[in-house]
Amino acid sequence: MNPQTIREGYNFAYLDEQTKRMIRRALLKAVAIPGYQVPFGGREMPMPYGWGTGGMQVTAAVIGQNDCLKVIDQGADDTTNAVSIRAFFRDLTGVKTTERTEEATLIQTRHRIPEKPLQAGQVLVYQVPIPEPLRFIEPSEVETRKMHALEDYGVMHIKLYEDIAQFGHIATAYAYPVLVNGRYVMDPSPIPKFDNPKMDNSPALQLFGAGREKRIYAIPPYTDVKSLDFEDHPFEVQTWKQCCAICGSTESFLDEVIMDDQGAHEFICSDTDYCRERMASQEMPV
Amino acid sequence: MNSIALQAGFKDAVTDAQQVFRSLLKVMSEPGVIEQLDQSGALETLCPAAFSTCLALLDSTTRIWLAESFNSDSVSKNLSFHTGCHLTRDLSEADFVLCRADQLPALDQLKLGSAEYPDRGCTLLVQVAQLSDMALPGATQLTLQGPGIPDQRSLSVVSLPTTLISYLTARPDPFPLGLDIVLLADNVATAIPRTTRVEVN
Amino acid sequence: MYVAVKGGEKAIRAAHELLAKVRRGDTREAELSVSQVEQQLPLAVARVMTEGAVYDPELAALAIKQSAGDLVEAIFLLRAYKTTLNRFGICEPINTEGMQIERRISATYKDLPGGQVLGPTFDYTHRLLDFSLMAEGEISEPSVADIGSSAEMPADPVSVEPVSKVLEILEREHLMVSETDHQREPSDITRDPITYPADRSARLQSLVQGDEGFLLALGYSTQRGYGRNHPFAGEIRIGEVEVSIVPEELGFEIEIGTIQMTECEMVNGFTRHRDGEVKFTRGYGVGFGQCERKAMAMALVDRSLQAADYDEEVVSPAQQEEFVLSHCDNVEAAGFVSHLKLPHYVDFQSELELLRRIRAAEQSDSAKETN
Repeated sequence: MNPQTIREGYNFAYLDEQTKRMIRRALLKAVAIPGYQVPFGGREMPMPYGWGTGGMQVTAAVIGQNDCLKVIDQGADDTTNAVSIRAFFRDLTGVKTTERTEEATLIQTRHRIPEKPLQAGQVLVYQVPIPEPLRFIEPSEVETRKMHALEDYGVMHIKLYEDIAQFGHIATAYAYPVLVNGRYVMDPSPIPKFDNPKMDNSPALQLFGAGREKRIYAIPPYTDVKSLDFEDHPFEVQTWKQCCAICGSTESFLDEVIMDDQGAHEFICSDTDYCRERMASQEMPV
Repeated sequence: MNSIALQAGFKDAVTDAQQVFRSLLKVMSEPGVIEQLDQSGALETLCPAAFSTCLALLDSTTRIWLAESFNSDSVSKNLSFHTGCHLTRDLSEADFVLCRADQLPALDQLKLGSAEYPDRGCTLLVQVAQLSDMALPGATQLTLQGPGIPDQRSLSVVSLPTTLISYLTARPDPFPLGLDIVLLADNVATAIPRTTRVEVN
Repeated sequence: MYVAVKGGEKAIRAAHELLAKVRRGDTREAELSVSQVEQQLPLAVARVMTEGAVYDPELAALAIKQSAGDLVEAIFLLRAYKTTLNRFGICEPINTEGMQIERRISATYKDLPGGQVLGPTFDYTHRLLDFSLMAEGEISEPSVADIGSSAEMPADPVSVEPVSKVLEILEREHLMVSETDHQREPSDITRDPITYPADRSARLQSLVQGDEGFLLALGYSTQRGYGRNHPFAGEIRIGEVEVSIVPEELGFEIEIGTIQMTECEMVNGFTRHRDGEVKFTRGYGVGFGQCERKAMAMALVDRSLQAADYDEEVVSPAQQEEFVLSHCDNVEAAGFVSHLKLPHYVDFQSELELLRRIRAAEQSDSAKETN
């Protein structure tokens, strides 16, 4: 740790020790009850609610001097919010930061899971806006808590089936609900459903923080995570006819980039580290 | 008046607490994995792993119940001094219960939370004689399965009380209720949360 | 090759420099000092302290200056600052009956002990722009004798004697439900998130920090019939109150200072209570500094949220506890609305892909039908 990088007068990782302990106790319960939303006394952070305060509080409670931190937003290390959060932790902890997925011990993410499979020992922290998967069907917390308690997820299946009746598809393309360890229906945060299969039996620990809604939840490593579906409408992920215009990948999640006013577009990898590494390996002399 | 000797806690309160927590997070999310936990020394009969766990998790918002052998003036004064935690004699309101393997309280008295709030259940800290991932002589050999465990994991515990063994194999409280158990021995720890299916070999 | 526009630290820094420039305005004008804000915009300071949940006029003024007058932003700055503060202790309950009255009015009695003290108020001002304020000049001091409205009563703006509470007069006559101390540890919403149904202490804490505009609109909606509760402004008082603590090592109370507060107690429609008695009901509002509109709105909403206590049917937004409490915080609300500005292109891409797929499937279906 380089003490010069820690802003004077602030605690390591910003939060005071009592707040960290409270979050840590909530995290231990969260991993013990996979997919269950643990209420916690979320605090105001120096960034607005909705901008990743939940993820930041989890990261602040977990991070230590030996960690190497990666922060991504939309899969990219260089989007403004990722840059801003990374700078925040670099300044307030002095830990090493990286853009390389395999180098990171701790990854805070908004809206993506890295393309490169995560390893045992890595911790992925998700920023979560609305932790309750049933919220868009039932606005009352009292009611949704009851549904989780009774394992009463009928409404969710009805909603998904209504989509099929109306559109021929389940009309949820991101924040696609999953069933964790065969018990709790969980919101995976607004990742594209493309990323859902990566959550299943991952060797990495996955932690979720919702600051404004004051909830923490978790998926331990090697835990069953199943995307909800129907026998006649099995879960499937997005595919593209195009490949990445930069690295040529046909396996990664692609972002559409508008090229001109006529709407011509190209597709590029959303995971900037993945794309960069593919380019680097292509440039290697044979 | 007896003056009670205060013992040193963590050397570096911020770093040590974070490291102990990371180890506890590791064992709670990967049941049966054994982690080193020696950021503090022992506190009387409390092993270093048990004292470190207390220092990392307890504060003025938590209530702990201590089994008889740990409930000395020195232990309670030191715990209050370092953490500010509340000691309770009412099992049903304890957030943490700390006991030696041979002094397990009645498990059906512990706080369980509710189906709506299963996180409000108690965390049971049990100090045992020895822990290992290899079969120890005279130990109870457990096979663990469930979240956090690829396939299955073996755990060997010396002095695991029979009431705890039968609790773990019978799981009387249906999930999501259940006790989350941290086993502590000397300077190592492991955990068996409520999701773990336990078989005795 | 197209390179996606992505912001870096440089862009963020440049944006912040531009913001600083906008905040400073024309440099030919003297810079506004924090103490000018504190002294000359006291009502803005009061709102920021109340909703920011920190009583510190100087820091609130700093936040207002730093946020270029955006009060919701200033409230947020103060709240974020509060997170970093250590808690040294908990003060004794504040006794507003002992308030050094600067303003005190009751709409339920023409006159009463302690008198009607108008104090500094916008009430009865004619809302005509005062062009004389554009000319920088001294403002004439009001004469003390002019402030009291009731000629018979002493008109001292700072009454030294404690002034008894209007609602207690009604309580003594058994006409008003009593506020009872349940001797329970109050909730602390900064430590434990609210769970529903919330207890009254958690509810009141939430409402104190709640957005004035939101509570004003909800309070107003109850007056228009959405959860009507027949309010009378029983008493509004503004003034300094003492703050005391009991240090553990001393074991007795010591005063650590005074703060300015506004308190509103609303007398609401009577109802038959569970004990069989018919009594008026009540709503409570409070805040730091001079924040009368907020305190009144809060009192209206506090009463409408007591619907369950009086077996009233919950049919209107202002009566729905979870709805009100989970949406009243403007730091939470502003954050979540503003987060829509963050990139969402991955999710949007997912929707695009799905919509194209649905449309393609439907077009091929209709093509088949026409064949």
